[in-house]
Amino acid sequence: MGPTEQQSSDEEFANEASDLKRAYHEMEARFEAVVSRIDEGVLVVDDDGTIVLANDAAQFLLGRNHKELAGEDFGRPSVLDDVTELNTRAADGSVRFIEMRLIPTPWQDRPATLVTLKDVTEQHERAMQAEQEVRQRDDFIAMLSHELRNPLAAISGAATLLGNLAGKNNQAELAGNILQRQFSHLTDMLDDLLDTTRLGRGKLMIEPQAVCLRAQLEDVIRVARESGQLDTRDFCCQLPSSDVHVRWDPVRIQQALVNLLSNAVRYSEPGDRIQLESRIDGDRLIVTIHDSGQGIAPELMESIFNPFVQSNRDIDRGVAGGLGLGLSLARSLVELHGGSLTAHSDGTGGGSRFTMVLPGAVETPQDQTMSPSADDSPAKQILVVEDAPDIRCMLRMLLEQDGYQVHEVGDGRAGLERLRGTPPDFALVDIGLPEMNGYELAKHADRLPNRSRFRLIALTGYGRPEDREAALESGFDEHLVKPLDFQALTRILNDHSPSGRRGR
Amino acid sequence: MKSPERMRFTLYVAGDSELSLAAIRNFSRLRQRHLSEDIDLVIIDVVEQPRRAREDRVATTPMLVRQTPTPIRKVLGDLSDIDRVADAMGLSSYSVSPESGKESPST
Repeated sequence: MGPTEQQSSDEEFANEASDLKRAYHEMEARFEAVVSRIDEGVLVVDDDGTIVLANDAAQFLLGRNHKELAGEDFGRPSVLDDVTELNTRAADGSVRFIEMRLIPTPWQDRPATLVTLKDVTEQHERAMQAEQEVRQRDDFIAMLSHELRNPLAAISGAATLLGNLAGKNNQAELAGNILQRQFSHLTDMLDDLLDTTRLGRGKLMIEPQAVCLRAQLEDVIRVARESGQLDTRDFCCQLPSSDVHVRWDPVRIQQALVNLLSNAVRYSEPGDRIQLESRIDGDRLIVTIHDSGQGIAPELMESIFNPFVQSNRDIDRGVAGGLGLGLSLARSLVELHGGSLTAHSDGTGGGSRFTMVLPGAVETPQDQTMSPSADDSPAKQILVVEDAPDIRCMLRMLLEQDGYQVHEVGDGRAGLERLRGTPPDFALVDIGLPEMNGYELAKHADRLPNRSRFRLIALTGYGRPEDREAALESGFDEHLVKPLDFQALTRILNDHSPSGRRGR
Repeated sequence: MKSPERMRFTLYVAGDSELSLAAIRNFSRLRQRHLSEDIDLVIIDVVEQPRRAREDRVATTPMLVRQTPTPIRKVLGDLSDIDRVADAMGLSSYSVSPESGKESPST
C-alpha cells in the first residue's frame, strides 16, 4: 500500500466518522424535536444531576425557560420509589402536583437520566375533594348523632314517666312499651352511625380482655332476642363448654355478632333457620352464622360490607329499619381484632353464611369441635312438671329431639311423688301449679334423701333478680324465664352430665 | 484543630400542600435520628417567595438543600426515606466517622 492509498483510506475513515457524527447529531436533534412536543415534561439530567435538556412542557411546569434550567443542579430524588411526587410553581403561577419518573439513558455517550414530569394536579385535586367531602359527611353524621341523642333521651324519660302514670291502663302501658322499644332501636342506629364515623377516622379503639366464650355468646343471643324477631326464626346455637376463654373486646365482638344476627333476621322470613356455631382451631376461633333466608345476589357480594349498602328488597319488603351499617361495622370491628369476616351465599334464595375468624383469640387452645356431649351414656331423664298441656307437649318434643327421656306430670304433688325413689336426672318445674306450687315442691324435695341425685330447674314468668332469688332460696338449682330459652336449658342440661352429678 | 462548620439547610416547599407538610415532618424525624448537634434550617415557601426560589434556582419542591458544608447537595421529594436522605446529605458519615469525633462539641 502506497502513501497515497493510505492517505485516501484515512480520508475515507474521517469522512465516515463525520457522517456518523452528523447522523448521530441529526438523530439527537430529531429526538429533541419529538420530545419538545410531548405533553409530558421531559428533562435530560446528566450523571452529576445537571440539567442538559428541558422540553416545552417541563419549562412550563417548572416555570423556567431553557436558559434558566440548562446547567442547573436538578437534585436527587429522596425516595427510591418508581414515582416521586413533587410540587412546582408553573409559569402561570399555579402550584402543580407532579409525578416524576426516572429512566436511565445514555446521552451524548455519557450515562444520564431521562426525567419525566407528569402533571396530575387535576386528579390530585379531585381525590382531595372527595376526601374532603367524606370528612365533611362524617363530621355531619357525628354532630347529628350527638344532637339527636339529647331529645331522644328526653323522649325516653317522658315515655317511662307516662308508663308509670298509666297505672292499670293496658293500652297506655302498651304504648309505653312501643315507645321504649322504638327508642332503643333509634339509639342503636345512632350508635352504629357514630361508630362508623369513628372507625373512618381511626378513633375507635378496642379494649381486649379475657372472657368466657360461652357467656359472651349467651349475651349476644340475649341481646339479639331482646332487639327483635329472632324468636320468629328457627334459631339454633351450639354453645361451647364454659371453660373456653377468649381474649377480645367483649363489647365490640358482641356488637359485631349481634349485627350479624340482626342481618340474618332481616334477610329471612319467619320460620327460616338461623344457626350460630363456634369452633376452635388451634388458637383461632371461628364463628359462623348461617341462615336459610334470601341469600346474597352475586353482584352484591362485593359491596355488602361497604357502609350504607343494602339490598333494595329491604324497602319493598318493608323490613324494619337499619341504615346498612351493620355488616360494614361488624367487619371493621373484627378487623380491629386482627381477624376477618367473610360472606358466602349460593345466590338469591340460597341463604347466607358469615364466617368470622379470629386468630390468637383462644386463651386455652382446645382442638375440638364444641358441641353438646355426644357420648354413649344412657339417655338422661327429665321430669317436666307443667300444668299447661301445650307447653308440656312442646317441651317433651324438643327434649326428645335432643335425645332425652321425658316424663310429664301436670301438678306439683304428682311431681314430688315422681322424685322419690329413683329420680330423673332433672326436673323442670313451673311455678304456678295446681295442688302444690313450684316453690313448695322445691322445699319438699329438699328434704328427700335422694336430693343430691337430681337437679331442680325453676321456670318462672319473670326474670327479676328477686324472682331468681326466691327460686334458688326455695331449693331450686337453676332458674329459667318464660318463654323458655331452649338453648339456655340445653346448656344447663349439658353442664351437668349424669356422671359428674352423681359423683358429688 | 479547625472548628466544625455549622450545618445549614434550606427546605423549599410549596404552600401547605400535603407534600410540604410531609417533607417538614420527615426532616424533623431526620434531625432527631441523625443530627445531634444544632443546625440551621430555613424553610422557604416558593409560593410566597417565588423570587427567592428563582434566585436560589429551585424549580421543584419539596427540595432539601445542604448549603454548608460545601459542596451544596440537593434532594427532591417528601424525604420519607430518611436513611437515603441522610446518605445523600452525607449525614450518616458526618455523625459516625472518626472525623466527626473531632467535630464534637469539645473542640
